[in-house]
Amino acid sequence: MTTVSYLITGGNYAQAGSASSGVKDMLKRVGAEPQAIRRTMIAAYEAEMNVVIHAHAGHMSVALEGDTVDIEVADDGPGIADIDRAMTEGFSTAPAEARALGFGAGMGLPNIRRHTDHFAIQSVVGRGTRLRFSIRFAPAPGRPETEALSPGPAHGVSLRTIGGLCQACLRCLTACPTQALRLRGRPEGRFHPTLLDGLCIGCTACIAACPTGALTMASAPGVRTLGDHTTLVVPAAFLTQFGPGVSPHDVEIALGELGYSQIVTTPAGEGAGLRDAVVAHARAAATPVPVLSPVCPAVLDLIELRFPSLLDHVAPFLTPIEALQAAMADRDAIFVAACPAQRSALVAAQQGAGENVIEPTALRQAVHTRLREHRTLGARPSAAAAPPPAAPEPASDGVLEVSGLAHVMRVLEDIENGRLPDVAVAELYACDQGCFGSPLFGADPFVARRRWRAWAGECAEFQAVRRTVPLRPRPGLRLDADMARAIAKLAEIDALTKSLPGRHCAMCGAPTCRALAEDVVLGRADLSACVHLADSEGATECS
Amino acid sequence: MTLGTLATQIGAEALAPPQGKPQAQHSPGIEIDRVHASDLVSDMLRQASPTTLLVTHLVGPQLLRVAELMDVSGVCFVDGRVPEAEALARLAAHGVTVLVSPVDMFETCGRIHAAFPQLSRGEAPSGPVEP
Repeated sequence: MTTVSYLITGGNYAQAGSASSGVKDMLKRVGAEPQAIRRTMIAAYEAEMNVVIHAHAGHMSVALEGDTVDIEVADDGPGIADIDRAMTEGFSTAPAEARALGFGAGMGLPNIRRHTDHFAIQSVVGRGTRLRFSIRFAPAPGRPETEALSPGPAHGVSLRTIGGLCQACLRCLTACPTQALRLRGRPEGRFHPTLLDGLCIGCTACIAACPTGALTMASAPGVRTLGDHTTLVVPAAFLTQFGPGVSPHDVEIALGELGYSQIVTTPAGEGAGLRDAVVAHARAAATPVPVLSPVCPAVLDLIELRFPSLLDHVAPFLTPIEALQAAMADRDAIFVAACPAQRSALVAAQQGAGENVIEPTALRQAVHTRLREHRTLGARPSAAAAPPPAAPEPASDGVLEVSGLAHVMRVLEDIENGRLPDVAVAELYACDQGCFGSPLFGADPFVARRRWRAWAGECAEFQAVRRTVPLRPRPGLRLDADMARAIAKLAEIDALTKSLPGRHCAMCGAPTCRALAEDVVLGRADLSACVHLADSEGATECS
Repeated sequence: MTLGTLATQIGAEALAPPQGKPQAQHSPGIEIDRVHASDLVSDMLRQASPTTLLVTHLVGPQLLRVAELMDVSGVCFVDGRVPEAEALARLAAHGVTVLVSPVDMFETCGRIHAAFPQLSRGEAPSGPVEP
């Protein structure tokens, strides 16, 4: 059970209502339905104002247990002589001062009784008044209580750790936007980052943070072909990785020599066809604004996990790489994924175990080798030729482009709070400059993207494809499938967090003190993992 | 209808947040489907919803609190009353759009009703079943 208590000061109209605000935050955190929050707010605010108007001091105690919020508001005021009359609409004893402020309508107590499931009042003249009321609530819709806490099959994890390379620098722990990583010692003394179930969104934040390459994308090894007629589907970003003198066309030639009969480029960022389709969708349909364009699978995963209320903002199309996969269904195709999220999306939509999805590093090496051979042979396919005129910038009226996870998270929070009504369509990319910013490529994202524009690289003909399997909320962040147990755990975590030093040093293997508290309460770690707690206890013994 | 449209039609001014305060939250583009005019806090608590415009004389902290607790998106002050800068900043921070009507309550409501008769028929937000 979670219990919170607030002091209420009589006559303090400026602070009045702050206890009710606190209760509102609490109900939101455990996921109560909006209608129940509304009823609770009416009752709590009326009760709080009664104390401010009539009493010298009082308190509000709030207990959350199971599916009920119990509130007690008690004061040392004058008491109520005739409770029946006080419960009559229109009867009020409020002083002129309160009436001038809009109180004293004689609706307070009736309002509380009407909006609560249980209501009781006790009052002794000269001693004070005590109200008790409770409101039952169900979980907010869209988060079915019965849903299992394990991630669905659509969210296979495509992040891989390479044993022996981890130096326990802890950088990945704090880099992860969903706090999915933990680093705890293995019995044999070697460190090895591990992922919590259902929290990895397949972005590249940890891969970018890792200085030793211990974290990378799972993929089929090496450079693969599927016989003589293999199509290679490759991100635009891959084609601008090889320096200023090597055009996308040169890279395609080198890839051809590696055995691929056709090269198809996935749309770079603005993905021509998808933007047109999403803008049309935003104009036509009665959808909430801004409409989110499904450009980046990692951002979609992030929305499912952290911002499920925004799922109906997402335009109902496949991400560009999924759409190409659908278009290539009848061909032997190998896909180069730019990030774990792309790989997960590709693997989820097919039968196999992802043998046809490769990661860019080995392929980049192979292309480098080819290009070096070209140079030693004196053949410089098109490098000497001037780049063709730059491609025209795609239309971007009313489209907000945001890249980089920190910015994406802020924008999603703004949208959730209704603070972006002036944006019609938003394209959000987890990596800087879209896929050009994946750490699996070598070049700087800004440079690589500019080169792509300068060389007027051409992408595959792109048709937006409707999504048939809807996006669904991911329950990974919920503490327990059962709301009552989740509330109990929340209280335990809050209490435990307060007892931790708050240094967020990550030495315990969790990214923050709160994450450790959560791990302890959920049975994933022991409190002794905190090095500071151990220190301070040692100090006490010495003194 | 949006609060911006309504403000133009009834000759009210949509206040921008005070200088230096965040502008992003200010959103006259927000849609409303009901109008409720009152100076009684209890009354406004019951009638407010995220799509309700409250019309009132009250400019003090209690109005601010009602707007905050009930997720109100717009408030129209009558008689040209303007809350203090601090209150305006807090309203803006909670995404509440503030309109100021230069005329009195009767005239303001009359103008709203004349321009948008459909607004007065909006259902009250669903509460619990009456006992």
